[in-house]
Amino acid sequence: MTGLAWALDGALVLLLLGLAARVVLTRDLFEATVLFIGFGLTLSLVWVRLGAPDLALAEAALGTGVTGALILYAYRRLSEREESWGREGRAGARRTSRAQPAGTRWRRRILGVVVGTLAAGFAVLLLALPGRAPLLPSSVAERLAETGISNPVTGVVLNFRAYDTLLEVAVLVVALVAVWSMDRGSREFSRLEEDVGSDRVLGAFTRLVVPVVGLTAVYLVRVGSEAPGGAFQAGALLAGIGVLLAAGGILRPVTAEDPRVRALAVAGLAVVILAGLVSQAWTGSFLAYPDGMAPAFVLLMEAVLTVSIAVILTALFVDVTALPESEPSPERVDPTGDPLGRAVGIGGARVRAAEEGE
Amino acid sequence: MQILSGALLVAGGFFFLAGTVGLLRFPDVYCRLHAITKADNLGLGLVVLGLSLQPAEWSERLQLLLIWLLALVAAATVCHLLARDSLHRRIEPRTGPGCSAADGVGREGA
Amino acid sequence: MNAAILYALAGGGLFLLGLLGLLARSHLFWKVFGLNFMGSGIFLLLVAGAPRLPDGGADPVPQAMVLTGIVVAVSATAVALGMALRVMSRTGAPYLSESGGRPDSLEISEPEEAP
Repeated sequence: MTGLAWALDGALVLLLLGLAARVVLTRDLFEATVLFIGFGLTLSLVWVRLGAPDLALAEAALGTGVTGALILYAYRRLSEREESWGREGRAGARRTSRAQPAGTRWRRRILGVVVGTLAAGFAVLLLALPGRAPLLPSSVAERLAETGISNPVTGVVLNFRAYDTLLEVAVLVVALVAVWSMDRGSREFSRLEEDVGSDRVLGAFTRLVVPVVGLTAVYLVRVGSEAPGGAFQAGALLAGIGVLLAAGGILRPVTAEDPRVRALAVAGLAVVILAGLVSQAWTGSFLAYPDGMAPAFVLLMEAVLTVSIAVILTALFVDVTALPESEPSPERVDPTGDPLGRAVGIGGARVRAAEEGE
Repeated sequence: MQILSGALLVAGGFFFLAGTVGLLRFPDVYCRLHAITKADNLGLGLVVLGLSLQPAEWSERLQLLLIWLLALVAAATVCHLLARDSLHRRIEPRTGPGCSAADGVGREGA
Repeated sequence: MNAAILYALAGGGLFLLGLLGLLARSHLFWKVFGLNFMGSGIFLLLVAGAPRLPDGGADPVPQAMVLTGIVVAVSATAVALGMALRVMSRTGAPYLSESGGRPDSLEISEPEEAP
């Protein structure tokens, strides 16, 4: 390998580990969030270096875009709530945590030693791995041509290992159900203050971006069978537009009660199961597509999955941060009797004033 | 040509880095917006320029240019919206002796 | 098997950094960060640790697994953040009640007072 390639890979690795270390060690949540997003983008570059462009797309769109936006939004909610609880709450926490029980230093050292030993042992094991040629990828390469799909990753995801994708989509739906089952306030998704109709900047931007991104998403789905792309990346792009529209007030914030949202959210899962049942009837095996029909099946599944994933991700984004309105009430007090609990009760009255001021 | 391309890429990366440092270190939302919007746009432009010097089809170069323009529009819009939203929420720009990051002041309006 | 080994080791290191973050920070958001790093570390290990095909192409099977993994990680992060915010909303602080609603003794860095 050339020296330049080594330098690039070395720099990427250093950046990756350095950012992760900084995120873990910093005291500032904002800095951690920003650096986490930077970490995600660096990881995208690493995927490119490792010859995994589908992963680079997915990491940039989902791992960094969606996750980063989620964390930023949650951070904003957190700081809003912490402000309204009042400074004394935080100060109380600092005071009590200053008095650390004896043996803290030792516990930290033990943790450090354990982790360090794991790291060393792991490195040794990794370097001692036998370099056998894998069997699976050659099987994939041989059979890929039969499926009519030339992107091997899509071939694996949606054809050879379609079961995994079925479960993956189920996980998405379960996550949505979990978030919907948490207590949510009726407060509107925090939109920008002015109506978008009269807001020419946001309106113009939306008019530009929605078609462009929509077209890109359609392209990604269509081309995913032959080139890097696919339903998940396209779905994440569309979710980005979804969030933009929700923030701009064009889209009413999605709620669990809207039947269209529910229908779209499960449509992806439904179509994969349907494809499986049809295949079962046709060829006798669940999700074993009939000969020559694989590209058609895959395209249909990807199209529906994209919409479904977009709806799920948008709904997740909107509802994760939809906290119930805080009210001063007895159950606000922390049952452990912590000084922070008392401060919360005091802060309750200030919360109401703060809410009115918002 | 390769050297020029590499130099432009590195310069672009440097601007991105500078923008992020500004994002983390500046004391209030307006300074931060200023830092990341300007630095990131310039950084992306340099990266696009550096990449277009690599051997490639002209259609690919056009694609890169369009990506840069789209990113420019997005960044400008977001910057405007954030700034206006902050003003609307009455977040005051920080001025005066307390306005230095070295004083450890705050994250309001982040 | 040159740069790949470097990345695989980096993946392991990332996993351990994430583990450290999960254990040593009691602020719930940092636990989310830690879990994400652990996941990314494993993904890196899967893809970088896979030997290349004889024709030089990359092994698509672990890539497909990691694609699934990324989606699952996003879902889990969303649920975890939702729960962290609700804990915050109920008890006033984003720490688990096991640690008394405040940073516990193992905490290696406390968040700043003004978020």
